[in-house]
Formats: sequence, structure tokens, C-alpha cells
Amino acid sequence: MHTDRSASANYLVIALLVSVSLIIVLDRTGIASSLQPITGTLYAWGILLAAFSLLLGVFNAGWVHLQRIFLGETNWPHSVALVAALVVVLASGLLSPFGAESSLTEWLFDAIIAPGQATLFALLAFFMIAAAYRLLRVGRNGGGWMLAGALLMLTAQAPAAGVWMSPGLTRFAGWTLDVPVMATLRGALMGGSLALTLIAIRYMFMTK
Amino acid sequence: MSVVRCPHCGTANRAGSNFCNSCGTELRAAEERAADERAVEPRRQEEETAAEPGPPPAATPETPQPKEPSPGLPAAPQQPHGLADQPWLRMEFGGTDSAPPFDEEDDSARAATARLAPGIQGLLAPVRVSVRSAGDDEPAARPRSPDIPAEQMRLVRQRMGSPPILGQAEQLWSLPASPDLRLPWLFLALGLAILLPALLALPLPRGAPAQWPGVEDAFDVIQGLPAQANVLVYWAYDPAAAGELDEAALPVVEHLLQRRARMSVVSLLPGGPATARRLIERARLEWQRSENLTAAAESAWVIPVQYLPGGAAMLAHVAQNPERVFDAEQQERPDLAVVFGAQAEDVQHWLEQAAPLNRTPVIAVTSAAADPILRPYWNSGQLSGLVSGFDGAYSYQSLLADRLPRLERSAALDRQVVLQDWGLAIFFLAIVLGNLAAMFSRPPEP
Repeated sequence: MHTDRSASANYLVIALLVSVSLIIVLDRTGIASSLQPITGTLYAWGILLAAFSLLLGVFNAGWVHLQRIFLGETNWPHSVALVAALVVVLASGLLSPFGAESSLTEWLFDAIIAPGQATLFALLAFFMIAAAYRLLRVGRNGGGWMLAGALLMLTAQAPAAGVWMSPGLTRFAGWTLDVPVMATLRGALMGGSLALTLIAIRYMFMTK
Repeated sequence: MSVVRCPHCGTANRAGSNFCNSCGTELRAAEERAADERAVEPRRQEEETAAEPGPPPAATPETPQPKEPSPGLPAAPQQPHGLADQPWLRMEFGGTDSAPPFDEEDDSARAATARLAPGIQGLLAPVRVSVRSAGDDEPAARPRSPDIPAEQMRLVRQRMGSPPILGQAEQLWSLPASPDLRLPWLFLALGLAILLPALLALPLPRGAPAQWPGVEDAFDVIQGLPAQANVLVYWAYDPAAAGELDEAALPVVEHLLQRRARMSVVSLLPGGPATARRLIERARLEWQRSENLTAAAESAWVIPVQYLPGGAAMLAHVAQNPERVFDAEQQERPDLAVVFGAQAEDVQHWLEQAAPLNRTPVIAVTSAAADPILRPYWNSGQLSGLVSGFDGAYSYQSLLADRLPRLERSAALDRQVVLQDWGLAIFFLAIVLGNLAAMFSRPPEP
């Protein structure tokens, strides 16, 4: 299964990846701007490849779930629902001259996809209130700081707070975001990036 | 079903797996080692049998005997042991392979051929949790590292697999157990706080959201656009975030329509174009209503909306080739780029991939959660304007209503402000209740 042929293919893929990366880096850094037509072509190929991989993914998902249905594997009714939905949505777009803007596709988007996604996202509010109830407590380690920060941001963003509170509170919240929070965030990003770079160098050039 | 044990965590994985389902350790080497061991085992048994006195094993039809060397030819080299059941490996083997193509015990090869694209496991093959068969219940043999003691390795794995503990663990665990949580009541209160004001129009001192810096700059940039300006719109949200982003995007799109900007929309999300078409249509209706325009006057004006697969790398393609998204006669550089993004990364991708290529001013319309991360980009001038969340939407609507009297402020946004106040009040209540519950449920000190 793991032969020299697959290793050669891997090296070929790596060589292609390095070549394409090099061309794009030379173009983007301005070292060789004449490469722009080539990078444009590469980007266009990227769109084609992405579209193909999307199709391949659809066929692969359909194939896998059809197998699950025919073999009667666990939860095969779920696969039936998936394949049926896939066929209906595909047919609604492919069979209509309006394509993705056909009336059935638009109805599927308005009646199923959009409400479903919005509902799942709205559940975030309930997770957040559960987290606020359980975690924003003074007694925990660092809980006081977290509680103070959360209260400050909630108050500064509450529209009604503008009636009773001083506008200085909003300015203080803005300063908090701009200076200490941003400094911490950038420090963490910088540290993470340096660590990632070191790990990459170690992985590439050190055997142990 | 045959399995292969992960040498790292001991999980039983399906034979043929390239990586462990549990920890991701590469299993190919382990499987090859196991295959070697399987090949060595019969050899060892043969050696043990050969060492015992007794008659030589009788030849069977399936195991052809080595031919006698022909006179005059050098003797064939001694074949290694262990080939009794693999006659095709013998140099003198001239028959056909009568063995089944795959080992009956090993279904990995069959599984590989059953895949749509064999050999690309992990990318296309479904993730399957190992099925434990009879004999799998024995504890997995944990490999012993020559350098690190097993007990220390176990501790490391335990630490790596458990959530991080901030500060001193003793202090954290010494807290009292959580009080009897009444989360369903909190959920009910939150739901009612949103539903009742929305249904009954409950009054509340509404106030006005804070006007964060960046909103007025965005307004001024759009207000300063020439007529028929080319505006490239990167649409990076779908219905999941439309509840917040639609309200923030609506006044901006309405303002662009009012300025007669020629918009072209591109999205990397499958649900993006449909979301964009709906919001633009909503903005167009609002604009026509507020300016008493007839639908026929603008019906011929179609805004192209495209979906591009390929991820963030394609943004550079859009910036390099504006004709890819604009009409044929609009191949010049866009006058403005507007990013409607639910996440800070969407705006960052545009600023990194596209903005350096076409040097077009960029305005970001984002969620409130993305605002703190994007604000430094506005401070540094990389963003020409920043409108975020309900606060930004309310501020932009107020600017539209103040400076362009023909455009009215959306009543939906006013209602949203009241709902936001009620929701935040419930959050305050939950925090207070949580602290009170923890305070009164603390056990007496010994």
C-alpha cells in the first residue's frame, strides 16, 4: 500500500506546492511583478480546482451515505434524510432554468436554511447566559477581573446606560479595548506566532 | 474486523487506517511493524519445530518443493525460512498465484477499494470510530519509551487530556460544589425578556447606543463617492449571523444606493449570495419608499452577486482582476471596497490578500464581537471606516436621518435597541444570581 510510487507522488506534490508558492511570493513581494499573468492563471486554476473539489465532496458524501443505507449500518435513516435532501436541492437548482435562483431553491433557503442557521446561532445567547451564571463569580481564581471586565463592557454597550451613566464610561471602555486588551491580544498573537515558527523550523530541520 | 492498536494511546483502530482516530498518531509504521511480526512468528515456529527431533514435514500440493539444481548449474541459494506458505516469493516459483487477493482477516484492502477515491483517507473517506470486536476488551499494550518512564508518560497524557487549570489547583477545587442550578428558569427569563417586549412593545427608557469612532468616517467616505462610483462588496456572512449583520449592513447599502454607486458583490460563502440579494432588495425597497421612487425607475439596475469557491486566496484574484466581478465596461479599479463580515478574520483576509493589490479604501461592517480586533486597523488607517454591531447600525442610521432627511430611520432598529436593553438586563440578573447562589451555598469553614 505504501510504495515508492506514493512517495514519489508526494514529492511531486510538494515540488508543485513549493513552485506555486514561490511564484506567488515573488509576485506579491514585488520582486518579480512580471509574474502577475502567471499568478492570475494560477488563481483561476485554484477556483477551478476548488469547484471540482466541491463537486467531488458532494459525490463522495452521497456515495458514502448510499453505502451506509445499502449496508444497513447504524443510523442509516439519517443517511436517507441526507441523500433525499441532497437530491431535492440539487434537482431544484439543476432542473430549473433559473438555477440557484429558482423558486423552489429560494423557498428552501428562506424556509429551511436561513431559519435553521439563525436558530442555531441564536442558541449562543443561552450558552452565554449559562456561562455567565456559572463562571462570572468573585470567588474563582481571576473571577473578579473577569467579572469586572464583563460588567464594564455590558454596561458600556447597553443603550439604556446612556440615560443614567456618564459618557466617560463609554470612553473608558473604549480605552480598555484599545490599550490593555489590544496589547494583551497582540502579545498572545506574537507569542503564538513565534512558537509556531520555532516548531515549524524544528519539524523541518531537526530529526529529534 | 481486524484492528490495529495505536502505539501512542492504545486505541483500537480499523485496520488500514493511516492515523489514529483518537490521538492522530501515524499508524502506517505500526501496521508495518505488526505485519513484520506476523511474518516472523511462523518463522520462529518453524525454527522451533526444526530444532525438535522428528520426521521432516510432508510436502503438500500447495507447497511446491524446491527443484533440484540442474547439473552444471550452481546451486540455488538457500531460501530463508518462513516461505512455506508464500511459494510465490521463491525464486523458482513458476506457477500461478492461487491465493485469494486479500487476506480474509484483513478487510482494509476491501475498504480501500470501496472508497470513491482510494488512498486519500482522512480527506475523503468517512471518519469511522473503531468497532470493538471480541478480544478487544483486553487493556491495550502501552509502549514503553526507552527514555521516559511509563508512569511519567501516563501523567503527561493525563495532563494534556484534561482542561487547563489556572492558578493553584488546590484553591480551585476547594470551592464549594455548584449550588442547585436553575438554568432552565434563566433560559425562560431570557426568552421572555426577548419575546415580551417584541410582542407587547413594552416601554423602557431606551436611551441611545454609544457612537463608537469609525462610524462617521465610514459615512463620510460613502458620502464623498462620485456618482456611478464602482464599489466592490465582499459579502462574508450568511443567515447564521444575519440577525445582527443585516441591521448593520442595511443603512450602509441604503446609503450606497442613494449615492447611485455601482455595486458588485462577491462572496466566498455558499449562502452569501442569497443573503446579499435579500438584503440589497430590502435596502432598495426602503430607499424607494423614502425617496418616493418608482420601482420601474431602478428595476433595470441589476447588481451582480457572485459566489467564488477557493477560500481567502481567491480574494487576491478578485483584487488583481476586477473584470472578474465587474461588468465588461467597468474594468477600472474600484473606488471603494466594503467588507460585510461576521468575523474579524473576514476583514483581515481582505486587508491582507486584496487591499495591498488594488490600494482601494476599505470600509468594514462587522459584528460587535469583531470590533475590538478590527479597531487597530481603523486606528492605523488601513480601514477607512468601521461600523459594528447594533451600536454601529444605530449610529449610521442616525447620521443618515440627520444629514439626509429624506431617508428615515428604520423602526426595526428602534425596536432592536429596546430588546437589547432587556437582554442585557437579564444578563446582569444572571450574574448577580450566580454570585448570590455561590455566596450562600459556601459550606461553613471547619
